Amino acid sequence: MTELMSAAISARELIQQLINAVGVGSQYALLAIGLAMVFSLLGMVNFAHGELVTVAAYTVYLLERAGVSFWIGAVAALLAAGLAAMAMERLAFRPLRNASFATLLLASFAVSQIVEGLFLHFVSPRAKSVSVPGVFNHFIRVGGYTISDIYLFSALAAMVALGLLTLFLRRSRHGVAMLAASQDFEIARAMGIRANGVIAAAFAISGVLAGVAAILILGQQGSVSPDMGFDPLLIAFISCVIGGLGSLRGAVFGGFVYAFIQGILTAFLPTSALAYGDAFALAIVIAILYFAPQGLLTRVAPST
Amino acid sequence: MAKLLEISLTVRYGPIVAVRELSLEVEEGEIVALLGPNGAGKSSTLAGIAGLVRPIEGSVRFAGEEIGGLSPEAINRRGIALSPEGRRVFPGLSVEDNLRVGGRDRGRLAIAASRATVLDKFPALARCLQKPAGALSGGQQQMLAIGRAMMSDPKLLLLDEPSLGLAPAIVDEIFALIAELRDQGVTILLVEQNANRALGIADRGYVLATGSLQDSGPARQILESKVERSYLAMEGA
Amino acid sequence: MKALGRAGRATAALAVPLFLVALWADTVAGGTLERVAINFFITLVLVYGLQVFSGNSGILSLGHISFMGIGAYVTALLTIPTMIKTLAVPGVPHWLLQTEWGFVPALAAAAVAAAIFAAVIGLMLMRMEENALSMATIALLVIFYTVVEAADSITHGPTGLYSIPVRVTIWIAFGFAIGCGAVALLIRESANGRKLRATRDDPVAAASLGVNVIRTRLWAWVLSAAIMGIGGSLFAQYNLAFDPTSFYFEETFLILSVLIIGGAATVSGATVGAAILAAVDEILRRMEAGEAIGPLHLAIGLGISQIIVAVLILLILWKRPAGLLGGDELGARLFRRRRAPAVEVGSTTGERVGEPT
Repeated sequence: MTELMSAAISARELIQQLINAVGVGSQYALLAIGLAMVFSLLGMVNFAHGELVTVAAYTVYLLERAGVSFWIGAVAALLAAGLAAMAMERLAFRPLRNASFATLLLASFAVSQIVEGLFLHFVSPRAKSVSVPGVFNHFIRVGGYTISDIYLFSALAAMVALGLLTLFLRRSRHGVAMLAASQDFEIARAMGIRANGVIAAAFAISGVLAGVAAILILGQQGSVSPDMGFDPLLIAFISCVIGGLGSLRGAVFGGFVYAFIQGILTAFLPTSALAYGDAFALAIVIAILYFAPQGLLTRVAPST
Repeated sequence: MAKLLEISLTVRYGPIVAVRELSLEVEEGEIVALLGPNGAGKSSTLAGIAGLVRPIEGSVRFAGEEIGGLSPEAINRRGIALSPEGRRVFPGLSVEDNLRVGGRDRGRLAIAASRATVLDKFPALARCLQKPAGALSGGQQQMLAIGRAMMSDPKLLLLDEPSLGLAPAIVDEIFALIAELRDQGVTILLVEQNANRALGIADRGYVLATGSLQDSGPARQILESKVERSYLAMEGA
Repeated sequence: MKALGRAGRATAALAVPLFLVALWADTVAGGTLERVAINFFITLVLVYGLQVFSGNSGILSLGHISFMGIGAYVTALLTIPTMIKTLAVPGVPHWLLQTEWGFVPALAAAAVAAAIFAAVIGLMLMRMEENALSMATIALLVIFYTVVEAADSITHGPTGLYSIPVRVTIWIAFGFAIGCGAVALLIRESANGRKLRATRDDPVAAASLGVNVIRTRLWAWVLSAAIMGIGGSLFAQYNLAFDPTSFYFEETFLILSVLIIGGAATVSGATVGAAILAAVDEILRRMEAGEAIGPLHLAIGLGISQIIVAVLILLILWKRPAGLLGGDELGARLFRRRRAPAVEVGSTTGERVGEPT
């Protein structure tokens, strides 16, 4: 949300931004958790994570063109993203199961190029608009502040998704197995947990979560484009690093912190300075990486 | 007694040979101790058997079947369970969940039965079921590691340095438990630096140094052999 | 001195085919193919730059294109005619607005600017753990792009800069390609280069032998940035115009692909990679445009070329991670695979977990 603002500090503006940040943070958290899940299991940063958002969004777009309603398309989108994630794991990453961090990063970079290229080629290089249910544009006013429906949805979606994920991870046998694998992959295997199954499931979940985020992004943006996956990837990456790479809770935390920082900056900085927002966030990322403990990024078994 | 495990194993890490053509047998119902100084290749042997280091050279025959080269999951499902060096319990999971994971995907009744047995054996664990494993003491973690391994009702239990870093009193407790396990029919391959203790409960022993077998025989024989005693630095150990 | 000899021989081996390409482009080839050749040589400069750092240190850098960008922007700001500059980048210091530099000074400035920038940022980055460093380079690239896009009073923002005097000819491009190749080879064979490769292969051993890992890495990092700066300058002074997206992930992917496909450890690998990609790229470009390639006449649409390049990379990573020319024992190390689940159930032999040599 952009508004005209003066350079003077406006408490009202700040509070509005913070309210927005809850919704924005929810979206960021959804994006970040998927990336963190894969990292915690495989020690890899999946550069193609953003493309799962692209897959989900395009699914909605294509189905809409075929006359399917947005909401049904949204459900299909979640499935598509989950399947796409499993496909990328099975086809591109499994042959590299024990490869180095750099190799996996590169491979995922390549995968992101492939996905982007596919949409570029088979759909269009240009952005396409998606007609989004009117509800996404509504907002309610509370005490002079605006709460966009989209942010309400985001917060709701995040709560539901994260709640279900927590239930799964903590209560179900497969979930506990996955948690165990994320904490000590090799020993989990020695306990009879099937590596391939756990990894495929983690990717599937990361896909579905990215899909949920995609629907929210689509609701705000109203369009799809082949390169739309890059920003979500960047957001997920920044959020994860802020929260501590590999930790699921950290990913959620990082997502909200990032959103709140952005909100605060939006409230205080003149618009011209805002353009540097990303640069600022990434400078923080570099600082965090600089102070990162040795081996944080080479160990595959951080605790959740 | 039937031979449960027969290995003739070489384990390499790149150019380094950690275990060189080690031949070793474990019969059903016995405790076999694998001893030797630091760096002798004992843990690498267990890692090779458990499938954590691959590929290996040579053969690992378990209950008549060649399992060399199988994945760790597959080996576990055939009835070999591991209590790793350093315990390596899942730190963020509760004791209860750690045990659950050990139970794999066995049926509810089977898991419940194993769980009851384990908690009976290790009452200390029963007292802290909801505690995150990372917060347990060394001794408790060791019990958990063994208990977790037992949850899959294994035919062969691989124990890697259970006494490491533990106070003597706890070590006593744990070794007594290990002996009890054997008495209840579990076959155990025990890797230990504390040769005294290990030989105290073992039936037979193998002595390893720099990857190669130095000696083997009944536990008592190794215990009493002067050469071995110096190897294993057992004076006052 | 043996190093000089080795580097010299390798340079000569490199020079011959490159010379032939330049000759062919200058004489026989038509306009488009000459363009392909010049771009090929510029790509070579860029790949050599990346090779100097990543190939020797074994560390993946996704941010090197920012050095190219710095070189390009510095060059453009120094060489674009005053009138245009005054309109496009009014925020630039007055002396800069008034000045119009020649080819060589602009290029030198580009190299120096990139080197200084790299030195400053490198003081921090080179201390990082390897994988953290790789991730930091991603951040670096995005920071560069974001800042350049935002600082429109001195960079002209998303529109980019244009009317850069075109001064690069086929022989100039060739000259710099072979020159940078020679430098890359020299760096590779030099004492510092060897030390750096030692840190790649076994950091602990290298450090214990007194190799200052940070300093050696920084040295290669700065030199490689300078070369990237030169590449950026050539790029600017050939292509006449660019915008911030010219120095972002698309270009990064391209240069990385070249390095990996050919093999990062050697300069010749980088060269082969560049050649292959130039050929593939040109063929695909023609196919995308529906042109004939000899007897083949297929019309493919957009996006296929990036898919094909990406698939090529995956194939190399799966099958031959050291790259096509990776034969060199050291060549296997940049994108090395760890051995089988290399867990030590306890490091009784005292080895580092997860990294058997």
